[in-house]
Amino acid sequence: MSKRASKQAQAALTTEEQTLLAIVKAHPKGVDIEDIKIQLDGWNDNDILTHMNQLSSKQYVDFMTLGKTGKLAFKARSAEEASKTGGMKDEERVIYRLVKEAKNSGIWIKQLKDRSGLHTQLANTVIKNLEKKNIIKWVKPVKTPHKKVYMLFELDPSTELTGGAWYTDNEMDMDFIEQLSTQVYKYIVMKSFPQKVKDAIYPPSHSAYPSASDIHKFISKSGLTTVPLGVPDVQALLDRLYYDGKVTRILKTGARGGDPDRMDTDFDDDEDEDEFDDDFRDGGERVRDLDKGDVWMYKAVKGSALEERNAWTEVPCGRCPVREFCKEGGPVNPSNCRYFKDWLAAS
Amino acid sequence: MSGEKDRLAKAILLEHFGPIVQKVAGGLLERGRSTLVVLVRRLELSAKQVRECLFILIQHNMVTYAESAEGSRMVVYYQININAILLRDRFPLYMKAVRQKCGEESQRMFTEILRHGRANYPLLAANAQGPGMTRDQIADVFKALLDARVVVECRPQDSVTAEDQLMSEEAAEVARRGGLPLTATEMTKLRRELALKRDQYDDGVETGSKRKVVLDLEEITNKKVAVNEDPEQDPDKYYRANFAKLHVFLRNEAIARLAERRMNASAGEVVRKLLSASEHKMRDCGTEAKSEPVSQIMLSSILDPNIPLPVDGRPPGFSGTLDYLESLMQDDLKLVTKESEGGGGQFSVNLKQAAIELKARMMESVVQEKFGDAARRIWRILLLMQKLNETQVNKFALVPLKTARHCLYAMHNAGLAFIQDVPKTLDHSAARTFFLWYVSIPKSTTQLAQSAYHALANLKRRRATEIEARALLIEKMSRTDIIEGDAQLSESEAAAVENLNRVVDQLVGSEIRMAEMLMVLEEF
Ligand code: SF4
Repeated sequence: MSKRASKQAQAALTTEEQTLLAIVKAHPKGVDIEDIKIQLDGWNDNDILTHMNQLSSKQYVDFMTLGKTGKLAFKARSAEEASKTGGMKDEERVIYRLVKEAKNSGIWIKQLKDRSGLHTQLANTVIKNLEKKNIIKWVKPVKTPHKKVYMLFELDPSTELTGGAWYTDNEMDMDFIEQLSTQVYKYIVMKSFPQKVKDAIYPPSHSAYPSASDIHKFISKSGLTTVPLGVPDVQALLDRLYYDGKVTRILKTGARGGDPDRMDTDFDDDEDEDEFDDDFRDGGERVRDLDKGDVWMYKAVKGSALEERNAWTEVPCGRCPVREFCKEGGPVNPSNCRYFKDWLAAS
Repeated sequence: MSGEKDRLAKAILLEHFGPIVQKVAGGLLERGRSTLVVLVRRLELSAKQVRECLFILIQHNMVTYAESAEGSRMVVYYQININAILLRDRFPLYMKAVRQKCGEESQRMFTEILRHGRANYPLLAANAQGPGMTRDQIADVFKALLDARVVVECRPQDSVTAEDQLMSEEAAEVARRGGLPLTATEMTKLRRELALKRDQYDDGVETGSKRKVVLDLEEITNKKVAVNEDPEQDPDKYYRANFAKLHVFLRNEAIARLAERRMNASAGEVVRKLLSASEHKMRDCGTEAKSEPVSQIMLSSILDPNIPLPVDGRPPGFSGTLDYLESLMQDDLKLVTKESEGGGGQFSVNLKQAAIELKARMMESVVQEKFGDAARRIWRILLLMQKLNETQVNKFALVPLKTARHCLYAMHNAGLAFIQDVPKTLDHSAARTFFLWYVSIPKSTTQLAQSAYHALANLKRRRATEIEARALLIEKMSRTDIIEGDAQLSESEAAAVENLNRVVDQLVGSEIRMAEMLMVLEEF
């Protein structure tokens, strides 16, 4: 249908308008009045503007401002779009344009109303109409779920809005994340310890620990998930395991010229720092280094180095909700407290 | 802080020495440095009672005195050392450490020293006398304690308040230099010199008999016993436990166990031996930042041959020492560092870092137990990256913002995470302020220690309550006819006894573990 419609519309253009449109169409990024004048002998500014206005009102051309200079320029609309907007009322077109400009980041409904300059009620009906016609749609951004955000119907919301692979229906999908990271962890464990001798370690020069892209490959091949994951997503998962203290990372020797001794001295540098805080700073930097590429190999940590039992959380006072009020001789006190009673009775 | 500490100290004193000593010590704790007269007046006890209590407290190394001239009179001030009281809760740990280092017999003798606070050799030997122990064996048992320096000789100065000792030394030095008041810089210099001198002196004492400063009186006794084959057995010499050294042993063992948990038993052995090589030189936990470097070859020779060092892909008979050392260096805990290349590489243990790790891991485990996996992850993120805002935390941890916020505030309430506010405007309005989260091991150490003192005192209180509630039963149990089997406890009484024993055991066990936690926090 759109072809026929566009032919009809095309037919309605005067020759001058058609010439002008051809030029504008040749510049998909927009063209300003000076450039047009160069290509059209004998036209003056006024001619161009009159015909341009005509084209604009017939939905063939959009006005725009160019870059920093703020110069007036023109841009052609695609035929399809022309047909879509062709039948629109002015106020619909205003809304349409604002929504379109927002691309897949969307525009917040309040901003949409404000910028359109339309009366709230009118704006509401227009928005409803466009929604009904499947021209625009709304989504809820993960970060601000109470804000409705509008975008063109055919667009996929940006990861900023959806939160990326880890979100399902605007909620962080904890089960999915946990399951996947368990699998990834198992995979790393498998690669981290020699199978042959019990309790043996790999020599420090061992370099077959998996990297982020290895693990990405593993996930893609394993069919663990149908959600498409990028390497950065996998990286986030690995970081999470690292923060959990379940895996540690080792600089890929290749990434630093293959000399293990050099790596050692690199690590030594920060040992001498006196300030306690500094001992941890280099950890932070290493985390930031991550974007530099596939430089880390991941290795499972054998033990988290935590004691199995913890004196503090074991006794009632370590978990006591009224600890602040507990005083010898006071209404809450260790002699009569029921937390102790339960604890002593329990074992 | 001091409130909880005082409360715990008093509970310990009551348990170990009874109510009157507790009262006197309590008076000193509350008032600080006091004279006998002041104590007598305040405590409403007789001068004799107070004096005897002070004697006991000095005997057990908890109170020191200082004489100072006030006008024409000499006034004696007494001062109490709260840490010397608090560490009494850790006696079982010290005893265990001594057993590991010096053996069972030595531990028994050590316990005797703890019981008396200070003891001389004849007393110890008399107590050690048993079937099958020859005099030489007893002497060896004692020698082992001295050699490990878990026991040291008491010096007269030990009973003199350290601060007063300093002041009088300084005054003497100033007088010697002409008596003119010194400038601040001169004073600092003088203090440093004196400190150095004291250090050297301490070294002398710790090695046993070689002493640089000898008081007149002792010189005479020394001559008198010169005939005695062993100067250490002189009945005029008294010995006490050296807790600073015991802390070194306990800390080193804790570090080795850390490596063990982290990697495997072999790594634990490597760290243990790396530490033991210079352990005899460590006087306390604060002095050295690193252990003395040991060469890889040297280390290989002292490792326990019964603990293999398995490394994948190495030929049989290959020494895994270097691989283990380097793996430990590679590890995030950074327990081991390489000091130089000589002798196949010289390695040392990073003691300072290890002490921080020990505390950090303890806190991590508290976070984990109390608040769960997500909180632990967040805590570790903050430890690694320092200051972050909520949304950054939520992004890195890959948990919903709500969970992140919940964890952060929960940890904040427990003293395990802290907020720093960065106001954007001068009016410090909350709406225009960044809130950054961070964790701090030193800060949390203080907080956790505070809570632990509270909990430990509660445990003690509860134990006392449980026992008081059964006072009649206990009284009955100690009746002679029951002990001799002429009369029996009823079934319900027997059950109650069993229950009481169980409850007390549970409480005591937790007390020791809590005391150990405090030791890690306060001494390492
Ligand atoms: S109320 Fe009971 S559990 Fe709570 S702090 Fe006091 S003694 Fe401990």
